Amino acid sequence: MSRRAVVPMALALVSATLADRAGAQAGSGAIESLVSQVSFGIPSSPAFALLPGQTSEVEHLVTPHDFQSAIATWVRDGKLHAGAALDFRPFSTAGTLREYQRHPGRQIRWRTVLSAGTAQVADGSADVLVSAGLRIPVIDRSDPRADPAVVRRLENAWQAALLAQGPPGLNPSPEKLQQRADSAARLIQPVRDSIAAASWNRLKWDLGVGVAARAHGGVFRQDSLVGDRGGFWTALAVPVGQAVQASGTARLTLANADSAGAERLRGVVGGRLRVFPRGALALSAEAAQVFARYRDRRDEDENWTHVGVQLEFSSTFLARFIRSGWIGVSYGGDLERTGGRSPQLSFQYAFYQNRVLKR
Amino acid sequence: MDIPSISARPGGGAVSVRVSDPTHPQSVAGVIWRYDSGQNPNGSAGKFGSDESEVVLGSAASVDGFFFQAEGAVLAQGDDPPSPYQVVVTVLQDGAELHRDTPENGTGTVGDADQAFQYAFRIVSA
Repeated sequence: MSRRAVVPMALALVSATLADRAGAQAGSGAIESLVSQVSFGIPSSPAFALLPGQTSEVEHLVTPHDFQSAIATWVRDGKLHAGAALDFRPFSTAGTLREYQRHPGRQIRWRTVLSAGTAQVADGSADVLVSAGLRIPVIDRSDPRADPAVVRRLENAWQAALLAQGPPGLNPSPEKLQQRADSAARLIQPVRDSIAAASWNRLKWDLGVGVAARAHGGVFRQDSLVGDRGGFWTALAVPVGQAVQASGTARLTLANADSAGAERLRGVVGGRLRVFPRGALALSAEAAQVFARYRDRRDEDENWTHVGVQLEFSSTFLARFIRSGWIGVSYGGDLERTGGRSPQLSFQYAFYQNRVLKR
Repeated sequence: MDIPSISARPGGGAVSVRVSDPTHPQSVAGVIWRYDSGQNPNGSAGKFGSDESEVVLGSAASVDGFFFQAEGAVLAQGDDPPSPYQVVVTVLQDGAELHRDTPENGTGTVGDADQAFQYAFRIVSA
């Protein structure tokens, strides 16, 4: 048996011996749950992060006129309509690609996304929350369009893919045009993969900010609107060589708590290290401090530490016996909380088809 | 879509075509195909991209009656939300604009999938 096969075998055996203290899962749910407890990025739409429930469909708007028209439809007969969600690039005319590549300010403006939405406060409530937020990727060294060499590689590959197909007929049908484009896209995919692999852990710094107001009875009037909550997010990712990414995040959510015991503040500060030494192996280790404060109940204020370590690997040897392609092993949870709650740490292992730790 | 005929001065300088998005930072790339007066393919006249968005087609006399077609795409950069683009095809002679148009499928948004477009025209020396 080769050394490459022994390592995963040994790990699987160790997992099995710990089974009395561990949870074995058929799917990746337990591993994913530990990895996603603390997010190390900022919300893609900060406005929606302040609304209850998941926003089902987001309208992607293009022009300032589209934005104004959409907002105008939110209010009907003086009342806010719940369930709206949109996002929009407020600075979408950023000049040519060359101008964009030369000016970091234009890059920030172009990448900035404004989001806004509305939602019912709770089932049966007439109150409606309206929120707005900004996502500002301040630095993104993995932005492909900002790098002339990356753009050139992609464009050269695309041109070569068209030339390889030979000339189309004059005025081809949309189906024929799409067919040729699909074929070219397939041909340049290896170039895209290689660019993604080389830039996965480049320096990134994102900011997010959002505010939400409650419209009492859904009435959209100044005297019916009350500030409800606000959030601030920041995330920094730094490369450490080719195979490692170190990330840090801080987030703070403030709420207008209207009753004793309601949460008025929640904060998270954390760090994570992700290692992808080779294609079939990945390691992630993270730690975060979480704190929550409650109105008029200082005795219920909480602080706790979240920790997690995950190892994920795939083995061609084990694949002969296990249909799932990936094996995940994790240990973590919450350390002792203030208020005397005992630590909730667990060991998990699982076999699954699609990898959880991705670059 | 009808193929526009663009008049170029016989004694004028070289005719060229520029394909770009002048208002958004999009990567627009592709090939200019050439067709004879019978609309039979006659090879490639050149490639366009961000570094070189203009392709020289030849003198007005040498391309008289020829058809050309820009086939290209706004290349996806994984934008979330999708970002806007507007491709503009400009035919020039001696740097002066003879014709300017946006391909039928040259406007929209691009996210994870490349957005293909084509634009055909004919040069007439007159």
